[in-house]
Amino acid sequence: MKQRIKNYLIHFIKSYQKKSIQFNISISFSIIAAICMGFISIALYTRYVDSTESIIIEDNKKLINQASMNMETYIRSMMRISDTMYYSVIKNADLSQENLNRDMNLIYEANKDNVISIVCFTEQGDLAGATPVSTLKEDLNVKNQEWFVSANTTIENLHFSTPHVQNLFKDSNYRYYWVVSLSRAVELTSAGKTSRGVLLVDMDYSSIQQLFEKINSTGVGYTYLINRNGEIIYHPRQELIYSNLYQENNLKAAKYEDGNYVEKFHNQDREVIVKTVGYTGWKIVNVTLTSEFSMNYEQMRYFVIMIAAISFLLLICVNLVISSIIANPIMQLERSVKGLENGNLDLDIYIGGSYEIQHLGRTISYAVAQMRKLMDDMVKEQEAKRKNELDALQSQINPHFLYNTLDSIVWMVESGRYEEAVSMVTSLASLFRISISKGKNIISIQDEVAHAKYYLDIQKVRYKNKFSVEFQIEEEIYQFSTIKLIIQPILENAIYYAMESMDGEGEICIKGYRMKDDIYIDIIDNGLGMSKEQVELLLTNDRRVRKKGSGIGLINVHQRIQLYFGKNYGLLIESEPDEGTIVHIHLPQVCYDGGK
Amino acid sequence: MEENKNFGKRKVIIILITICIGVIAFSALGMSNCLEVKNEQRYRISVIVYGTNEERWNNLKEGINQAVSDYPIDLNFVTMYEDSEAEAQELLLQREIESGTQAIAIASSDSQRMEQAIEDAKRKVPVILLEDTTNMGENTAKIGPDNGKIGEELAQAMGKELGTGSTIAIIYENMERESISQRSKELERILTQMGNKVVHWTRRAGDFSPSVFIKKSIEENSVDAVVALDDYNLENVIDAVDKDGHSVKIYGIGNTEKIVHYLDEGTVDTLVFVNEYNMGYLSMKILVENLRNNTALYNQEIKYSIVNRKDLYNKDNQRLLFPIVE
Repeated sequence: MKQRIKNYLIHFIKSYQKKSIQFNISISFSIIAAICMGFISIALYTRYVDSTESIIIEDNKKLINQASMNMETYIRSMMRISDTMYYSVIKNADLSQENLNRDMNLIYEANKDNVISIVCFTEQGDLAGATPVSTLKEDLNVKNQEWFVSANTTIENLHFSTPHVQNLFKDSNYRYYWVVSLSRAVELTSAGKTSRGVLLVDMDYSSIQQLFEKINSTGVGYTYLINRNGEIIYHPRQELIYSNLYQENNLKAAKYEDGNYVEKFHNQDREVIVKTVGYTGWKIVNVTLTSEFSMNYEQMRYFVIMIAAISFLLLICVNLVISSIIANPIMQLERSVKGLENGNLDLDIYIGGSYEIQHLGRTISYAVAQMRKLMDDMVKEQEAKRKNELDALQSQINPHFLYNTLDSIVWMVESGRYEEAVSMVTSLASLFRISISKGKNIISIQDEVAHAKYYLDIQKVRYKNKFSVEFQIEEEIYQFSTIKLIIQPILENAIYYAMESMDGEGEICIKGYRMKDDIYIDIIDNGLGMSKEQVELLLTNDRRVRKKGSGIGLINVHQRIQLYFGKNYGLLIESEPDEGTIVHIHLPQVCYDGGK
Repeated sequence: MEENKNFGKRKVIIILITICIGVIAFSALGMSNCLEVKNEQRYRISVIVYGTNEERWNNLKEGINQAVSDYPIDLNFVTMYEDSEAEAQELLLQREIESGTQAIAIASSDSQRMEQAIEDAKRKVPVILLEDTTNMGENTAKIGPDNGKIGEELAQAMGKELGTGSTIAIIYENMERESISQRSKELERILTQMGNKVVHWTRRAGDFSPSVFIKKSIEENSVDAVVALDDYNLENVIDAVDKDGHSVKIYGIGNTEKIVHYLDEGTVDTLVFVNEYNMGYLSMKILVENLRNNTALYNQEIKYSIVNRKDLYNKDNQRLLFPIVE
């Protein structure tokens, strides 16, 4: 497994290295960007979740604090009603002489929005006073009712009941009121005698209901109200709870002190805030399901993912631009180097991009220039070397030619043909003089033509006038330059290959003329001629073994002319089998200045 | 040079594609905000009940309204123009289906005559029968109390008070409703078993109004108790005995404000009431679950209680009989 991972890693690194620099930069930056975006998104999301939770909890705390204040105000006002009723009305009244109803009614009228009725009962459960005035139910036994019992159990306290249906008065309209009863034991005076009674203020339950409905219409979660035993006084789903269709963790909440709690109820995590209402021991409980927090987060999660995705796309876009800005000059430089690899030294090396790439480009460009210079120098050196070699070769006289010539001279002297011998020696001397030309390679066309004439003079004696020679040289070309010894090798070829078999009918014509600012010297013979293939070989194949002549091939002449005067010049051969051969020597028109 | 051009073009295309994706993403983001409000599908549910007295269904409506606030329901609560007209209810059923309701809860006015119409409706939309747990249409989902048991327990409660050898009149009306006929059957069986005599009071066509008919029947017949098996008939009995006082004991099944009031006053001796709040809430819950999750409809039995004047105000009874209304 380890080895497999290692192999994968190596494979990955290798394939990564094979990719272009732009690809590598883009991918690397994109991966880093994705990782960073991921971290930032997670951090932002976590921060959002934390802050949202704490904001919701804080908001809910404020909400139940407000609810607690409102409840306390409401409860206080109810207690005030009870106190006023007791201390201002009941305590001062003698029931045998006066009726409580009038004063009760005044207090009721001032508070009837929140109060259903105010009633006073004697210890025996008889009605001592009530407002609004109503008829008590027949067979009513208030002594069994919870509020009555509570008031008589702890007589010094005010008692708040849980919500219940008022069971006191007849109502022909079938109306029943849900009330919260505030009861207390009171001292009644009748004919100077005091006895205990119970004062009941039935608070309208709908006031509490409205208060909590208002609270529940804002914020997250819900708020309910319980008494100190955990019995529900208000719950937004009260009817469902009464019908056993919904459960609440109210009994546990009753045991909580004021503060925040996290609890699990029916497999749901809940954040619970508890606040006790003063005077009553009731508790306001706010419940927020953790799933309600996450409902808010879902959208935020989607939002964060979208923002991260968009940012990532934009970063990819920026990465592409940046990587192309960085990589483009490198790639262009690399293309220049590839061109160099292909041998194109004349290519312009790219110089651009950042400072480092520019520096690299300049350095490569300098190196290429140096290389080009070195190569030019090398070529020139090689050319010079070649020239020297060719010149040295050209300077050599075929030993056979010299031997035969000298043999002919000996033969002439022995046969008493002294004048001819003198003429031949003179020609030979002149031939050598021009051949040497004081070591100069460039001579005038006049000298070159003279050299050719001397050579032909000697050869004509040797070949006993087997061929005739004609010179048609325009005099105006004599003044121009040529390299030496270019006509003689051609004549030598013409004699050896064309004239030997001619037996007096051979003709060699040497023409010299100027055409289109160039000089042409044509050597024309009427020998056997050559095929096209042979003609082509003459100027291309310098390894051809020559059977005859001085050993200096036409190709040498051709190369020497090109080395001195350029590729536009040299030899051009036209030949037809059995027709003869024309060798054109093409030279530039350069005035001869004495070989300087 | 050509290569550079291609490279540049490629870059432009990539940037354009990126921008397009960005635009699409932003649009999706915007859309999601718009969809946020719309993403919860709402279900149109019709509740068709018999009778013209909407108050009779107050507790059921409370339960349905709670379900409406808990579930995405668009409710159409339909009562009838005339009492006990099966044809009219059949037409209402058809009208609701044609108007595009997605589910129906129906309290049938005549179990047998409505059977075919309900079967037809079931093929188009999910249907649940209210108040009925009888055998009508084995495959139809029902929600309601065990009506036979109600009759049985009421008879036992009456037996405790009346002893044996009493003559008991049953208001024999609306027997076409399976729920009432079941209640009556069991009630009569047990009362007879206890050694009581049971008589049926049936109002014929052309007779007096129901309350006058009952009043006359009480005057003309010597009975110890009168039993009404639904709200309508119980209210008629109350009306019959209210003004002149009465010597007969009254028992019944129902839970309208009027009935509860007369129980509180002592006119009605013992009352059986069905938790119709639960029936309303659970019927909606079952239908929504079916529409939302495609779960099968199922039968749901609803609890009932027997209450008399003494225990009317105990915690459980007052919570169920006196709905908390602002």
